[in-house]
Amino acid sequence: MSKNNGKKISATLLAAICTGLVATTSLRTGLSIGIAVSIVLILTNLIMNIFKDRAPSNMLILFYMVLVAFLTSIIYIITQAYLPELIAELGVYMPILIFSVCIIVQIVSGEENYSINIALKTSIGFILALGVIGIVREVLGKNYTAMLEAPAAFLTAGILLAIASGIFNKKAI
Amino acid sequence: MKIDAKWTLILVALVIVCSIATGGIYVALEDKIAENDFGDGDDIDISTLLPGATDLKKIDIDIPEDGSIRDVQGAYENNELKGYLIKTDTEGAYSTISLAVAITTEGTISGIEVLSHNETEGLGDEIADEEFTNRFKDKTADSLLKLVEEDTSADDEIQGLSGATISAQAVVDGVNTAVEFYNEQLKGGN
Amino acid sequence: MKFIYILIAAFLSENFVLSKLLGIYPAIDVQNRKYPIVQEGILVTTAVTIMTVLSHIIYTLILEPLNITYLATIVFALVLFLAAQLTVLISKNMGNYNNREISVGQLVVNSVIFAAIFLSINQDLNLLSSIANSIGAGLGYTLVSILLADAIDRIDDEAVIGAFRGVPIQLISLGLMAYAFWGFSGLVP
Repeated sequence: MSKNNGKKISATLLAAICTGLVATTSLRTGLSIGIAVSIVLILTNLIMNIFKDRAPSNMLILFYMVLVAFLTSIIYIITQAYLPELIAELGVYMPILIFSVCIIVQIVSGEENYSINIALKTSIGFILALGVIGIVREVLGKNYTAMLEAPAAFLTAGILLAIASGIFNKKAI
Repeated sequence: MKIDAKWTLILVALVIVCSIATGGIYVALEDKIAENDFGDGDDIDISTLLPGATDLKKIDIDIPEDGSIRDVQGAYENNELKGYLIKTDTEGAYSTISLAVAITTEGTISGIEVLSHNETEGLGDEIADEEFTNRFKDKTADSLLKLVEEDTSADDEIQGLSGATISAQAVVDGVNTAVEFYNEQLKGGN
Repeated sequence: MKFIYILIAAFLSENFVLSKLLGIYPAIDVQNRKYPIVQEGILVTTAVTIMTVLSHIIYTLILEPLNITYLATIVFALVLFLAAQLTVLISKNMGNYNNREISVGQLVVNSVIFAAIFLSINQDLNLLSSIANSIGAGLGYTLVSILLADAIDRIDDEAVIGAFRGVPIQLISLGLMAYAFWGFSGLVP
């Protein structure tokens, strides 16, 4: 069971990282998306516990999507008001990314499993991963602007993922 | 999919509650968001587009409702009107190109700037380079501009960009929209 | 003409997966693919197109006139689900795929990021350009999935250093593919 759970988390985390890759041009954007996604993910899963055992299972995902969209909109509005420089960098990508990452995380981790445990673990991993990829691309990008282009994002993520799986001595998925 | 009436109603209620809450927060923060005004012209250095002008002020004028003109501001030097800054949107090859066109009170285009666009990297994006935008400098606003492939021979011609004809044409169209607006509404004082 | 330009741009020179970094996960998620790539690609393209049309209509006819564009994300969530549901219905009625059903969830995962992006960028585009963009993105995604699946088949796992096996080497393959696709830039004026 726990082994199965671990595999679920790494698959979920991977899905999240791949989707969030677009926000990794700098440490700041990476971290902000990471934190925003974590807030939405954890809060939504908390609220979902109210509906989890009561609502018909085929409607749960709809509730989940509405809640994620709602929290995303609120975070977007607050960011527009208090962190305009972040919006200038991420633009319209911001709400889209938060929304998509949360939806993908949920569906990949299992359609009827609204576990806070998975949400928490995924969030921590997601913030770390986006932060690390962001800082590598930002630092290298100062000298090599090609690092800020799309192809470099794949290479950076691939190499860092390999390093991580080398350190933790397991296959990423 | 089976439809459960009770839970569908609950879902609808949830959507309504969420919408109202979002609306409430938006209304509460609306002023703050409007203050931040995301780069919509505040970063334009008018002195580079219209030599001599030092600041921009809102002027009282009706902007056409079709959305072709986004904003019109007066460019002043010590409260003396030197010209106008007209912002227009134009359809490029696959993105909306936002332009700022500065026209002096004497009827000369003193400079243009591409505010935002999303054209092809390496080709269409040359429209934002000074090498291209400078081609509009000191053109007369008496007549509309034409895009030509070869070197320019007449005063109302703008040399295009090879490989980016649509993008360049879009910029010329945008500038012409501004010129038309200038001739109809602004020429000779308002 | 513009329709074709936009379509080709979204398909090749500004491929959504490779140059905009969108929809990477579904493309590399090969193990869990329950559906043949081309058919899945067609379904994703259909879903995204339906989604774009619906959200474009709702955005320009309801949200914008009422000045409630901040509700876009919530409306979008519902439209996305509806579009996925519709596509599944269509695919069932086509009759061909009865033996293998794609689930609504799977389809949502595969199209969410493309579809989402249109809600925001297509606010400036007209309906026809939005449709061209959606079809191009869907086809682009299909192309990259096919290419990647083929690349994975050819990669000799034994020759890859342990830590790079699996997803890392797939991401790197995608990166190299992205460099190759860079050559398409300028294909469309």
